[in-house]
Amino acid sequence: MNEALIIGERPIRHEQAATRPLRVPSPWRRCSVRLTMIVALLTAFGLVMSVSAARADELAPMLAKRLLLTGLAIMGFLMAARIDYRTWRRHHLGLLLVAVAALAALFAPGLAMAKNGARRWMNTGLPLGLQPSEFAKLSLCVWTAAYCERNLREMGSFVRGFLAPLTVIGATCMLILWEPDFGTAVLIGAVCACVLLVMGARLTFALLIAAASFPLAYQLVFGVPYRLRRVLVFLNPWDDPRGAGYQLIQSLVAIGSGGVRGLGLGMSQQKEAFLPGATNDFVFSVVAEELGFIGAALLIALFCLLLWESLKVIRRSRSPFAFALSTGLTLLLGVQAAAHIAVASGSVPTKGLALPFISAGGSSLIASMIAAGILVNIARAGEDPEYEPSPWEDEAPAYEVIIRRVLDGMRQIGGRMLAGVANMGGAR
Amino acid sequence: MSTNITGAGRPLKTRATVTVGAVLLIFLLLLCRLAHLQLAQADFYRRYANQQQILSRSLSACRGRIFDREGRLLAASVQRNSVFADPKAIDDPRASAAALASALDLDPERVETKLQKDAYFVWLRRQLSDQLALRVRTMDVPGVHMRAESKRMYPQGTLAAHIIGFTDVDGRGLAGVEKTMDALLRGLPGAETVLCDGGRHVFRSSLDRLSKQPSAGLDIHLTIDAYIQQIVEEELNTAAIRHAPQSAAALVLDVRDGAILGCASWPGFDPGAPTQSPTSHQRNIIVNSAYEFGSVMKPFCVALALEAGVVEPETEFNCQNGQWRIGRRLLHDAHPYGTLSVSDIICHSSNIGAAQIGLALGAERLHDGICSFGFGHPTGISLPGEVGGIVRPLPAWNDYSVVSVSFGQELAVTPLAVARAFAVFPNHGYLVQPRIIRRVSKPGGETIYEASEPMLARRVLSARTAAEVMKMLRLVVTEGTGKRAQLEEYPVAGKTGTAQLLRPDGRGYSDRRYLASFVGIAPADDPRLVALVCLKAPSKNGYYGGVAAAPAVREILRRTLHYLHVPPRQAPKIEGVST
Repeated sequence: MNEALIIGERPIRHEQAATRPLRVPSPWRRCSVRLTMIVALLTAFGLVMSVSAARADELAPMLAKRLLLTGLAIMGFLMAARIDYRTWRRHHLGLLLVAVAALAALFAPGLAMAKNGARRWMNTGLPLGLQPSEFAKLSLCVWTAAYCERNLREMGSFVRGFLAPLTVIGATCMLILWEPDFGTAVLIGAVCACVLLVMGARLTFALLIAAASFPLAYQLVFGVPYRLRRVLVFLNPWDDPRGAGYQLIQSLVAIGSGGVRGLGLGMSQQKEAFLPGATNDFVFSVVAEELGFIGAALLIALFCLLLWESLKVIRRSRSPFAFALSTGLTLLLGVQAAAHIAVASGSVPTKGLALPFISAGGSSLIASMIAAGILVNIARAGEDPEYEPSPWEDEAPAYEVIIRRVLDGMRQIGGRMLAGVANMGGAR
Repeated sequence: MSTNITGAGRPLKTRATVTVGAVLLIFLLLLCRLAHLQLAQADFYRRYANQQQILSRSLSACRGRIFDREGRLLAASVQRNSVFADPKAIDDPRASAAALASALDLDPERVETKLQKDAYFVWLRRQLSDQLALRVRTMDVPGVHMRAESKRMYPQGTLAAHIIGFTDVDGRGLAGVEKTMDALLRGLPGAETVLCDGGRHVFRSSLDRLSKQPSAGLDIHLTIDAYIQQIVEEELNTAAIRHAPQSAAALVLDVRDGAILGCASWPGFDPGAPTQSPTSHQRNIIVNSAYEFGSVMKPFCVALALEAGVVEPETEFNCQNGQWRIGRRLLHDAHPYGTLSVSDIICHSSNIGAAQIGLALGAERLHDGICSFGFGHPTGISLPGEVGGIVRPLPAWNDYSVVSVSFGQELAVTPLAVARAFAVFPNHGYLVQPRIIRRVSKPGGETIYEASEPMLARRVLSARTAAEVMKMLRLVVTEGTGKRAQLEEYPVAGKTGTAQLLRPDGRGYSDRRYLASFVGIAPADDPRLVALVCLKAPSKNGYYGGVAAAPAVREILRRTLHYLHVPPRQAPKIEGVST
């Protein structure tokens, strides 16, 4: 069969092809274009909801802030879509180090803005705080993908394929957990672990690790009183409608009272000081209240389309790194959206997670758009017949070489010292 | 176009597909959850939402005003700001309390206690002056808010305080006309349905079809004339200062229709701040107190005897030179008299003479007659707490009761009842219904009730008897005990009373404490007014009714008649009576 006769993925019968002129593939058939459209729709939806979910008295500043953030996010998206994704692979170590440094900086006095007892925002001197954990998600995804590509053949081994990358991921997550931001930490950990599994790590190890870390998880959940209350209360918020169950009940009331058609854009009553976090962690409830089941289902459908198109990008990616990175980013967006909706609808314990593209948080919006931009870039690479995946070795940037040498040196020195200790001033 | 993943190609793709597929499946489950919430349980949550979002609040109606008979404003409600706090929203109670206390003139510690309460609402100070409200507003303490409330104002100050009464801070009438007319003054509260937010603050003001506008209360027009009221209060005050009584009361009644033109109790109080004076000052003596009035009651006994034909005005009685033993009781007159006609008995107020007339009339006729004058029952005037007084039932009368009742002991009556009964004589024998409410109107002015016709309760005496008694009462002023009530411009009729008060321990009568009273009718030739002044236990400058009370009645009558433009008669000599 002739290559040129394949349009899209459907072969056309020979005799028909002979009589018709060659058709240029429609741009709508391309994943990159579809992804861009979906992201544009979600962004527009988020812009409308930011106004709609704002209380009347804070509408103007909310809109101004959101317009500025949307502009920044679109710039981020366009840049990510244009920058060759291999650049991220080249700088994966640098990105990780910057993310870890930024997360660690939150613990330095004066740099963090404490809100509700959590140090999640970096003080920028502007009204807009920077949330390093949002960008750490992307960095960790990039690092995980790069690690998987480099160690692709050893992914089946326990130490190389599982324990080593999980240690790095776990350490970063611990930093986020200490802010404390339980939701984001769990999300990143879960997504990166999934990427490892997809890239060949053995499920047995994962189950083993899960079983081994059960006491730790138990301590995390049951050790801190408010987490335990949050964990338990979602099962029956009506036990304590004015206390621990208040936010969830208000969220359920928002969703439930929306009915089929909703109250209309901007008509939410629950946003008026009933539902805490109406523009952010519980923005989906306001969507469901104002636009009803129809609007909420539409939003879920948009996210499903995003996942669907991303899955195509994953399947058509041309290198292990692109495969792993697109998997990670897809899961990041998808799982976070699903977790947000699950929290809002009382299906899982309450955790503060933004809804990608919709919630008011600026860092979340920009990070989500950058993630989408990287996906689009990978999609474009997958659609480009000229594309040749470049070999890994040529690329290491100077700082990585230096770091690796330093690490190597330290390892050798450490090894010698260990050996020395073992020999008790022995032969060498 | 196959993917170029070195190593395990297909298994990896499958794993990725499965993973992303799992997320898609989660979305599907969430969609089911949403359908359950929004389709199956929508009604439940809608109801719950309405319950917490829709708030029905009552809109208080503007309380009606009170006017005097000439339309002068006596009581009205104005909008004032009240300060309240939300203790849960106050971070630093101590600092806030200090600031608020100095601005509001309150005790810092008490304010702090309020601000530390486990509540969402505490009043700090209600119905502030505009100046204080502005001070609080400029301070702008977080968690401290203001609400407009209506405050009752009494623009004439203490004038007619006992008649008007007062309200509590929430606008409920507690005394006076404010209490008896509360249902009319209050109006009908409206209701408003509003959307509120989580902090119970209204953000969408009203759902119109569920709201009901309040209808303002009705205006009450009293029979009181503020000018006459002022005269009455001034003269009562003058008498009270001169004689230092325990308490005192004065009253001016329009003879023709029983309208109370002015009435006062002393000591007074400020209806704008009723809590700042003792509650005893709030007693409206005119209707709330019943006394044994003594000699003032003699004309009734005489009138009944005349009506029954037992005596004629010229019938003479031996007054025993001032001492008469009847049974084991010894009666006294203030001055010893020999033989006195019935006229003279009234004129000189002889107890012994009155007792003999009473005995001639007999217990049954005396009792029934006293009752027919309206004693022993409330007059039914629209003032709260009116007492009926005490007229002992006939079977309870003992051997001396006829004698006692004849000169005004053994029966307790209110000053209003006395004044009304006196109005029988100028009214040709008819008993008139006293009243305080002249007109009720809607806030726009439309009259919905007007007391136009005088309400005559019943005929008590024949016109002839009434005229005879009027002549005797005229003589009291011209020749008898009430000379100090004599006016040059107008002929005055009247009767003095100096009654022993019961001893505080209740055992018999006091020798030192008297009820000095005088009832005057003027002008005697064409009666317009009945005026009564009584002083309880005057302590200096004389205690006789003719000394302590008569001058006050004289001045009240003189000034009131001038004010009413009653033309003065030819200035008479003291003896030149023209009855």
